[in-house]
Amino acid sequence: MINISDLNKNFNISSIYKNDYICVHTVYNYDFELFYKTLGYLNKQLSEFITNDSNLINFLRFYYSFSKICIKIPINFSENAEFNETNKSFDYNKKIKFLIASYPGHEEDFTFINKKYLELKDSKVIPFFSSNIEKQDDKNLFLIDCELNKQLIRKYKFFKNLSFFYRLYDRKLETITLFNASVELLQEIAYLNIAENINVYNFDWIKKDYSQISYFISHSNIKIRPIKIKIIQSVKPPKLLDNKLLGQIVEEDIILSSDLDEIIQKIERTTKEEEQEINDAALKEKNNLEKIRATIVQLSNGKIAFLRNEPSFDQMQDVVVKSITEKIETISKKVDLIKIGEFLVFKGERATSMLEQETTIMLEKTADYFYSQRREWKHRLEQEINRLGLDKVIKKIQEFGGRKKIFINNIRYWLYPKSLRTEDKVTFFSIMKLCGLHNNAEEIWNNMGELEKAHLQAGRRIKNKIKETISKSNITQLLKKGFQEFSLSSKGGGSLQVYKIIEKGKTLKVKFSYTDKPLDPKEFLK
Amino acid sequence: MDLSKFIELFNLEIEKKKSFIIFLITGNKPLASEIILSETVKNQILKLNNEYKRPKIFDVLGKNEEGVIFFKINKRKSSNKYIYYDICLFLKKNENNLYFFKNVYEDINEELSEIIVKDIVFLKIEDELEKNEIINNKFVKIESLSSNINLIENFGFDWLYKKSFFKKLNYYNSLKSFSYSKKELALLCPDTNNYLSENFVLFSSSRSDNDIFTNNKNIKFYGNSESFLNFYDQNSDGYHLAKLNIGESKFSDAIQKLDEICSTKNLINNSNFSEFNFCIQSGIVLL
Repeated sequence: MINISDLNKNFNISSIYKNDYICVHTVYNYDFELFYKTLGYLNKQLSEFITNDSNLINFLRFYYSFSKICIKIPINFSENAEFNETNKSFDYNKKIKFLIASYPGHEEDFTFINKKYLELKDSKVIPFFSSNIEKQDDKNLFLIDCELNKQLIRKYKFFKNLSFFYRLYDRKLETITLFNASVELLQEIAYLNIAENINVYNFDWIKKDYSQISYFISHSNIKIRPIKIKIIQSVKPPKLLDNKLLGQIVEEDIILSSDLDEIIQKIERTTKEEEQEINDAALKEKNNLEKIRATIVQLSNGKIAFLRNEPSFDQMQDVVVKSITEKIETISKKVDLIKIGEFLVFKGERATSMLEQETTIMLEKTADYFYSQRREWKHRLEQEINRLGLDKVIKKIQEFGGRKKIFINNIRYWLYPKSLRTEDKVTFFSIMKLCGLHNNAEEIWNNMGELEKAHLQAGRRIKNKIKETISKSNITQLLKKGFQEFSLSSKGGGSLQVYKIIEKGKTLKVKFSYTDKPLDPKEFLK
Repeated sequence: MDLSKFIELFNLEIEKKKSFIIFLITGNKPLASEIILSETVKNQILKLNNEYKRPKIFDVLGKNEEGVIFFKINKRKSSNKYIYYDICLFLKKNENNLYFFKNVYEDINEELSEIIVKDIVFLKIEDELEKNEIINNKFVKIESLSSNINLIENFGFDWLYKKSFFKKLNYYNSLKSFSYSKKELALLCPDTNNYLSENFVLFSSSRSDNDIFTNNKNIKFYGNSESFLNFYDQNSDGYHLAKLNIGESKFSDAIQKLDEICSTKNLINNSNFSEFNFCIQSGIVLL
């Protein structure tokens, strides 16, 4: 008779629950990442034209197929390109003029993709392995999740398709290695219990969430024993994302520049004098409330500016950059990271209230009412501070049920004419009580919420407008003279001024009204 | 807990006479299904050994009832591989204690002594049609295996011809996988393989090839996802065992169907069926 106890060990699958059964390795390859992401961007931007334009379809298909192979097969880029070209072809030089003519504004993207493809085609780098290829023999196999041609199968004997592993039951492998495996694929292979270890190599920008690997996810009453996954992070190589669009500092710039130290000293001196003059402690506090930390910069054309640099408040500025695809666009950068020679975007004088204008267009008549409500509660709060002093105001807000920790920075933010409401409802309600607006508190809270939503939307619209305006404009004047003015054409209007940064100075406390706009230094050097 | 423990618990569960479905989600484990099946058959036989009472041949001959068929070994034809039984009909007993039989296969009348008659196998059958069918066949061919010889010794030919003798097993799987497992199992142990023959297991791979799935009393074993999707009837009671194997086609559909059953029916928590080391998940649901 058959002895089942002998056979039981063949059926046992508990070994998959050990600690390092699955190891996920993160892989970086910046060149390929750029290629892949640009292709994705182009696909997204031109998605509506794909069905009708065969040139575009062929272009995308060809390069997508290449990137798909690179993601799935651990061979070098050059072999990947060769493999891709046996199945698909695309005559770039012949078709590019049609593509550029059909999709103006994307010329840089098309050229970049082809340029990068040619670069990768010459590369002998295997993206998954930094040095040598992983161990391969008949006990250590690679699972390739795409069709292979005969040539590759002959050359790489240890590349196997999924169906091979399904048939494997009479022997146990040491390792199975997968590349950018989908969650479903890893789940199936892991539970087949045919290898001691499973390795997964994933590109860091292709995010996969393997944490939910287990069967019967939807039913809570069934006992689930999830597999443990060990994630191995390799050292991330630094990205060389330097802005290539830097203006040169010419003699004229230096002649027109002022001495920043002198201005700083002047400001500090004035502040000191002011403080000495004010004897009233409450007034001193109020004066302090109107100030914010900002970094002084020397701009082209002899202008200077104070860029807000308060960590809990605002630290971002728009800068004109040349993207990896050689396209001119704007990105937001932290003030500390902005370099000399870069071009800074200021919303022009007519556009200081650009956000409000855009919101008014979106919300129509109601926006004016909301803004008047905002003005009112801020005005009343300011009056209360004048009347009671800062300490008492904070105490009262807390007494009325507001949150326990209120700092001077919070009051500063609430008084800032452009802020809308507090983070938590209870504090807002206690402020309303303090301002005598208790009856309308709910309404004001909701209206400020509406405005917040509208502002976010308007902000995005403005940002897009700025991006669009700058990327479509000719920037030769900017590069030549270090200054250029752009006008936002569509409804809502406004203008943009772009200045070159000549010098960066210290960070100091200045009045709100001075910040984030180009100023004439004479004002400070009187 | 291992496979042997599962088989033991599964068979205990069948005796409780409650309708249930037991599910096993497992990886690539060939032979596991077939071993569960054959061991379940073996288990039933062991149980019947204790319960079954068989009349003695001389009592039967003494009563000389109608509807009894006799089977005598044909030694000339039998080999190591097969045993042949000639079909005989009892005629009379003479004064010299010799028994007269008509050998249907040889078409002669034989006089047999008591010693020989002792080894004759008999079968009482009520249904006239069935009786005629057996007689018309003239002989019975049985594989010469210890399991079969034991069965004949204990139950005569009742196990072979009486439909309600066993709780039959309906096994649904792909033909390819079943024939592969049978071959493997025959190499390991021919007797175990014998329990997978059609005398014990009703195998079917597609809906069109039989009508057996109407019988609710049988034990139904779905060996793969596709069979579970095809054959499991939402309204049926009885004993169901669904074994879903990762990597096979329709696996995710089958999991979905199983999940539905688990959500709507009574899933037994903390049961013995939730932790076996040969499956990733398992459980029992009362129907």
